[in-house]
Amino acid sequence: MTPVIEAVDVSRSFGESGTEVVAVNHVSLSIGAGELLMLMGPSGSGKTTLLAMLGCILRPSSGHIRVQGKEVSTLSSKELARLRAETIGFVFQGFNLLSALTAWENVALVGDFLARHPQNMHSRSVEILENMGLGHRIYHLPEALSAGEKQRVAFARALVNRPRIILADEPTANLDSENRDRVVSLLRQSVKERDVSIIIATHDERILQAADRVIRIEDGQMTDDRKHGP
Amino acid sequence: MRTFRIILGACVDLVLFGVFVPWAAVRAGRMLDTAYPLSLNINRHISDIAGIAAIASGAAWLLWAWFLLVRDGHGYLTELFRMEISPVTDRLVTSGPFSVHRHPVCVGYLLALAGFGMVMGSPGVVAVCVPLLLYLVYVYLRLFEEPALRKRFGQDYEAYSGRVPMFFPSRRNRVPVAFRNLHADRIRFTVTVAGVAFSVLLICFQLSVLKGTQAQITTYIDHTGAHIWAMQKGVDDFVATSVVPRESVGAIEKLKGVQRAAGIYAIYTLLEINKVKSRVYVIGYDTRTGDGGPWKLGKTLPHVKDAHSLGHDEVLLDENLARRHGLQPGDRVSFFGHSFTVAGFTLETTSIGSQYAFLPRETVSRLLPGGRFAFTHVLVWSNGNISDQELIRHIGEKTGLSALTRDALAANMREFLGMFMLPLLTAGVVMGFLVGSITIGITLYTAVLERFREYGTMKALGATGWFLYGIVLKQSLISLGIGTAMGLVLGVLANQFINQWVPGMTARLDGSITVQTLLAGLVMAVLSTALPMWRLSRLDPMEAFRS
Repeated sequence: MTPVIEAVDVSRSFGESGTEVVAVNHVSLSIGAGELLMLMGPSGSGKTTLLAMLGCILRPSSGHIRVQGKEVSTLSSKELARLRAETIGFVFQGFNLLSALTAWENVALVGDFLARHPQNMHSRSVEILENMGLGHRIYHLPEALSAGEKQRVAFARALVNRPRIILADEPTANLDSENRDRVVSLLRQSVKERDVSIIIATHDERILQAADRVIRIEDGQMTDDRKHGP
Repeated sequence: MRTFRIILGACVDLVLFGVFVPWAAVRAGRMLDTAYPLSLNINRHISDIAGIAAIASGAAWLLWAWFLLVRDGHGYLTELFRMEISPVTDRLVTSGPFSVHRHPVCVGYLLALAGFGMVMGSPGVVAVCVPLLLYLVYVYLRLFEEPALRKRFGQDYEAYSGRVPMFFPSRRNRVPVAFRNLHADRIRFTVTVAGVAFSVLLICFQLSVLKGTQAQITTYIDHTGAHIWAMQKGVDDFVATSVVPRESVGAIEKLKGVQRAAGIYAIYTLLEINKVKSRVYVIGYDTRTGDGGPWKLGKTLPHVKDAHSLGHDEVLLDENLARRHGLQPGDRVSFFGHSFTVAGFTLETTSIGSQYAFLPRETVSRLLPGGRFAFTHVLVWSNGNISDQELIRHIGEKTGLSALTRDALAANMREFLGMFMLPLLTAGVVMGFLVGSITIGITLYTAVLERFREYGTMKALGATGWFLYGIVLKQSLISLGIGTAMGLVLGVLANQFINQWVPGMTARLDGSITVQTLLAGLVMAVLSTALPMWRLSRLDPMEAFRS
């Protein structure tokens, strides 16, 4: 079966020669459909850089990334943008909601990137937010939401275009234990119900139990890759 | 109290939307039609029928929506800029025309207005004023009315606005990021709009003054009606001193192609009354024929009906000149050491830096040294049998005088004016343009910088560069649209003020200036986005990962 995302010997460095910093060093991995993979490692280990490359936001210095079997290094910026909007959902550590938009507008906005029908996007956004227990917060601005609610809105945004993959960068870092458990449960639920593949970059050992597989990274290199029962 | 507010609201509606808006639209449309005549070759009957149909359907749509607002919403329409004049609706109305779009009253009104323009046969109203109004209404609704409705009806309105389009059913009715950003940054938005309005006012004002001044400086030349002007050899404008022998008039009259000729005196002099000094251009004209005399009279003594009825010791003064010196008909005033009775006022006779006074030619000839032997200019009317150029050649050959057509003389005067005024006015226009562009440019740029991470997030989530540029451009166009509209309204007011209250100065705001100002606004909008767009073009979507 074709992996949903595949990284083949990818490296990424920043800066010029002499002061060059290698953030990711010859990493290869692949993730199948419906798999929940966690990238574990301390801060500065290269998790986020790897996640950004897997999410087609950052081009690798060397190596190849394939999304659903398609080599992405040859794609233009516009094609990459479309690929991200259609296939990949993102959840960020700081939630990254647009402050001037209400919860449903934040969710529906990504439909605009694909020129989806606005009325459909409205009903779909409302439905997802209701499923996440945010029915009473649909028309609120982010400033009126708690951290847990913001993260759930961000998660709804990641799901609204029915992506094949969700990439989450430290999704529980700013949450209390109750909201952390809730988000982890939502992630697992998505894997189960929507057959979505999820890659979470985290250093939070407390959410490890949700993973199907854990990859450990240190100094940009993969040090461990093992199956893990949820 | 409720009844009073309902009546007050109805009066405001009637004055604003029943009188003022149609009047302004028709006036602006007419100005555009005059400045840019457009013949569409559409059968008049068809355009009349289409116009009446549009008026009827627009009015019906509007009235139906109004009826539902009153019956189901228990409220009225008059809420302007969040000021509730009449009682507002307490229930959200979503039936009837409100199930088709959210603002059927506005759509019906604009449809009827477009119909009105069709019946009038005014492409300016239909093609420019109505779309411009639609845009302004759109911006107003987004920034004022919809946030108020959202506040009043909460989730019900959000759900309704997500379900029903604003005006037209569309597949691309996007989440209005640009509007939301502007609404969230209200202070910045207000500063931008004020900056734009000021710069547009500056541009509009300078252009109007230039146009008014150009018209002023040639007002006498334009109104005499003479086709050719003959002057002392070497003179080619109406400012330099000219002396023309009296017998030249007779010689010119005998030339082939001449209908008639009239000698006039045109002399600059200084009028001083109670230490108030004015430069006056005294015209001595033939009161028997009226040639070269005033063309429009204001307040006069009872016996003065027109240019022919001026007595030997009487003078007609420019109205602004008389006002400046506090003179009334019947007062006495001195020219060339001789006392004259002010017989009345002349209109449209204020020129740049001076005003006109009209005296009988024979009186002037007695008062001026050498006046019995010469005039200063000869006005020539052609009978059309030969070309003006040929006639000019004949005049030169026969009398040795310089001769110019009216248009050429007027052009020389405009050029003369331009030599000292144009650089000043151009500098003003450029300054207005720069102030506007820089104001919007800086506010947009800082707005982009403040939301840089949000733009980065959108890019990471799959927005293309053009999607992000679109947001910036929309913000710019919205600010520009409102600022330009405000600036133009202020420009019209400034225009009225100058013409009414500033003696000696004329501003002329017409369709071409309106279009030029609008174009300047559009160019400002595009230019001002250059810096923010450049910044966005370098936006790294990794920005989204930065906490």
